[in-house]
Amino acid sequence: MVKIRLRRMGAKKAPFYRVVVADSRFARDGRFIEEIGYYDPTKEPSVVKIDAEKAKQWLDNGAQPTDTVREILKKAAVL
Amino acid sequence: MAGKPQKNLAYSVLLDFYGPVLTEKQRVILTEYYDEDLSLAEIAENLGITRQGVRDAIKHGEAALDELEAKLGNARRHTRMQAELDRLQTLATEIRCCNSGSYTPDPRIHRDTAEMLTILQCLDTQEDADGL
Repeated sequence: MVKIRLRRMGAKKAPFYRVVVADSRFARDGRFIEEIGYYDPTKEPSVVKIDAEKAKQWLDNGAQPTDTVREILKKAAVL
Repeated sequence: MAGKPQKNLAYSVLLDFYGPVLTEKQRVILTEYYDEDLSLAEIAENLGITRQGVRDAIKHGEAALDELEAKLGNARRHTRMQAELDRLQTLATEIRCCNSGSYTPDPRIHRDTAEMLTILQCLDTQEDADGL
């Protein structure tokens, strides 16, 4: 199954997340198919940047967002 | 999916501070859950344990992180310190700019503010290097 999930980047104590499309079979080794945006919760208010076109395309093709990503996509008005 | 509890990403930061104090298993599971955004089922499959086992480890790990933060407050302090360091940097830069823009710039102010900015820079990176 193809999933859309967050992946943490950034330094210690300063989290920053990429929103990535990844195959759930390779959940652990960090491989991902495409990066479609990012989420920065350290800013006030938090910053969400999503390539809406790509996100919609993946969702239409059956990619499953995690609950966390679903919330972020809602925030970015993609969902 | 309505009403499902959201992952609280603040635990990801607490994990930076207190991860080494947790058990190996709690640390691995919380890292996969928060930093890799894996589901309970995916973590269970990766580790060859039950979904319930993963859930328990997460709950216990979160409770431990909450307790450590309540007693030690390292994350709270870090946030406050970071804001204050940023503010000091702004102030020192302002003084430096005011001085260099004046008709009679004072070389001592120029030198001292440069040193202040260097120290602030050190404090900022040192804290990260210490991992504390």
